[in-house]
Amino acid sequence: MSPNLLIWQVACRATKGGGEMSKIAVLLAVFALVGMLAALAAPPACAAEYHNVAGLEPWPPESNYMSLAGCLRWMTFREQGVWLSMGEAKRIVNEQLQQG
Amino acid sequence: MALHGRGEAHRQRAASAGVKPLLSTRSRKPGPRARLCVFLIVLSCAVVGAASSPAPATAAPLLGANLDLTRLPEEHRAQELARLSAAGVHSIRMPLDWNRVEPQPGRFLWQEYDAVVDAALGSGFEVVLILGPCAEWAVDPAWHVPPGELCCSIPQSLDVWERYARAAVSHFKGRVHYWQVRKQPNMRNFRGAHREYLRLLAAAARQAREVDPAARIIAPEAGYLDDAAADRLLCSPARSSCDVLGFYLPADHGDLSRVLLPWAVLTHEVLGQTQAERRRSGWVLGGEEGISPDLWAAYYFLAWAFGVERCYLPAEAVRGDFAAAFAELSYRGFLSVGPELWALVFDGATGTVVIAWSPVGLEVPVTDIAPIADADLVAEAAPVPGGPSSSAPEKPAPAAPTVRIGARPVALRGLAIDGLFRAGAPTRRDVLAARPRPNLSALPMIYADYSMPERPEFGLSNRSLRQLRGGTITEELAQGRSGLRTHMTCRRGDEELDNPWIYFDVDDGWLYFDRGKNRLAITVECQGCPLGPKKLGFNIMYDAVDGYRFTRWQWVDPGYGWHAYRFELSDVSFANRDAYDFRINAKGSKQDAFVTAVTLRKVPCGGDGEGARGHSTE
Repeated sequence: MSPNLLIWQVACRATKGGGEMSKIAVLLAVFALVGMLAALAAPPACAAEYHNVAGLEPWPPESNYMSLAGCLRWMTFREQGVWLSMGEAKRIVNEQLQQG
Repeated sequence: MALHGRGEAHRQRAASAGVKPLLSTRSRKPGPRARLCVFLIVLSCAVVGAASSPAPATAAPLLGANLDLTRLPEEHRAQELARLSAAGVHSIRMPLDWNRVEPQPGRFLWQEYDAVVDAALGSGFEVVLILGPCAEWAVDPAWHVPPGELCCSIPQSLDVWERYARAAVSHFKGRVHYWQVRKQPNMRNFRGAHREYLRLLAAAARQAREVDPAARIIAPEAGYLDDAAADRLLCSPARSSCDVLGFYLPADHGDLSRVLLPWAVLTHEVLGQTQAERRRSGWVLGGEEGISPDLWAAYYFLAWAFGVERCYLPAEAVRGDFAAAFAELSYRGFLSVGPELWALVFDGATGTVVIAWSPVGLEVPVTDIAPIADADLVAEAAPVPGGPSSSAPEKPAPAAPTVRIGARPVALRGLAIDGLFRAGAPTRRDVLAARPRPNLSALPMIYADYSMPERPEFGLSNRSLRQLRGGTITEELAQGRSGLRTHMTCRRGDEELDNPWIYFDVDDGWLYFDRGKNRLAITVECQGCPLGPKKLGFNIMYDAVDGYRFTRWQWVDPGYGWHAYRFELSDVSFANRDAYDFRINAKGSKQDAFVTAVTLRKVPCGGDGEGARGHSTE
C-alpha cells in the first residue's frame, strides 16, 4: 500500500472518531494529496549527469558570482529541485576538474 | 483489434480466450487527408522496400519482469511467480540491497535473498541482481548527505564496494550470471560524478569476473534513451567492464516518434559502431513511471524490431499471455513508423502478421494498409493479449473491411504485403523520412527570429520548451522588435520565479548526434544594456561530445541598440538530452536579457575554435 493511500485511510478513520486528531489527519491527507499533485505536475526531468562546471571560472558572473561547487549546487537545485551538500558538490567538481 | 462486421464474434472469441480489454480505445474517423497520408506512407515504404535486401528475421526479445521479491509477502510469492511464468516471463530482475545484505561492515546476511532467489529459480526463472543501492554506513559523513539520500550516494572507499560485489557474486555463483551495477545512474539515483560511476562499474566487473568467469555485467545507461550518454560510456575505458548495455524508456508524453530516433541511432550507430559493439547486447531494463500497458506493448514490439535481446517490464505491466502469444513470430520489417500509424511486419507459422497501433486512433479500410490476400484471415484477425476494444461498434460486413487501430497494438493477418515493407530495423534516415516535417538537412542555416511574425521559428524552437525549469520566459515587443525576455530574480524563496534560461531545440533532421563532426556557429542577436557596461551578459550551455559544456561569458554592449554575438563551437553533439540541445544563460546579469534572434550555421572546418565575437548592428 502506498504511503499516501495509508495516510488517506488513517485520515478517514480519524474523521469518523472526530476531535483534534481528525484535523491533523485530514491536514496530513491534504498535504499528501498536494505532494502527489505537485509530483505529477512537475515537468519531465531526466537529467543524466551533473552539469560539467569545470569550464567555468569561479566567482565571476558566469558562475553567478559563486564558487564552482556553489554554482553546481545552485544549478542542480534549479533544475532538479534537489540540493547537493557542499561536500558532495566539491567532490563532484574535483572529479570534473580532473577529467578536464 | 476490432474489425467491423465481425465485431461481436470477435469479442466473443476474445472473451472465451480469457482476454479482457484494459482500456477503451480512442478512435476517430479520419478525413480524406489522413487516409491519403496512410496511403502515402505505405506507398513510400513499398518503393524503398522494393529496393532493399531482405534482412534476417529476428526472434522475440526474452521477456523479463522487474520485481523485488523481498518486498512481496511470502504467501503471495508463489502465486505471482506462477502468473508471470504463465505470461511468458523468462527472467526476474531485482536489487540486491547492500544495506540489507551487509548491514554492518563485513557482516553479511544472505538468508532473505537466498529464499527469494531459490524460489524464482525453482519456478524456472533466471535471476538478474542489481548491485546497490549504497550502504548507508559506507558513505563519508563529511559529505553531509541528507539521511534519505544516503542510498543514492557512493561509498567512501572502493574497497568496501569491491568486498560487497565479490561476496555477492561468490555467494550466488552458479545461480546468478547477470549482475547490474547500480540502477540508472542519473542525478536522481546517483549523487556522484560520471567518473565515479565508471570506477564503481570497473571495480564490480573486476571482482565479479575474478570470482565467476561466467558472470556478465550490465551497465545501465543514465538517461532515457540517451544516445550521448550511452556513446560516452561505450567510448570510455570502462566499456570493457560491461557486457550488456541496459536502457530505459520514457513515457512518450503523447509522441512516440520522439523515442524512435534515439532508439534507431542507439541501435545502428552507438551499439553497432564497431564489430565488438555489434556483439554487445542491448536490453530494455525498465521505463519511466506512468507508461501505460498499451505503450509497454508497443515498446515491446519496437524492442523486437530493434533487435533488443531482453525486455524487462514492471511486473504489474505484464498481462495475460503477453509474450507466449508471439513466441512463434519473427520480425521482418516495417510498413510505417508513425506518427499516426505504426505497423511492423512479422513472419508467423500461418503467414505474415502485421502488428499495428495508432496513438491518435484511426479507422481505415484494410486496403489502405495493404492489399488483401485472404479475406477470411483478415476478418478473423487475432487480437493481441489484452483483447480488442470493447467499444467497437458492430457494423454489417463491408466489401473492404474497415479496421480500427488505437493505442493498443492489434494483429492483422491475411494481408499481401510482400515487397511493400522495408526490411530490418528503422534507421535514422527512415525515422526522419517518416516525420511530417520538411527535410532541413541540406540547409546551411536554421533560425529563431521573433521579429519575423509569419515564421519566427525555422528549425530552431523555443516555444515548446518554456515549461522547462528556469525557462519560463516571455515573448515581448521592444523598440519595434519582438523577442524573448528572461525573468530573473535573486530573492530567496522565489526560485520558481527565477527564469534566466532560454532553451532551444534544434531540428533533428538538421543536426542530431553527430559526435562533433559539424562545426557550428551560433549567432545571438539581442538588445544592448542601458545600465552600462558589464551589467548584462550571457553564455551558452550546450550538449557537447563529453556532456553539457559552457561557452565563454559574453558581455552585452551598453546602450539601447541591437547587437549580434557569434559563438563558434567545434564539439557539439545535440541529442535532445533533457528535451533540449542548448540554452542561453543570462544568470549573473543585473538586467534581463532580451534576445530577438538566434541563428545556427554549419561552418566549414578550419575556423579558429570556440569563441565569441561580438559586433554591433546598431
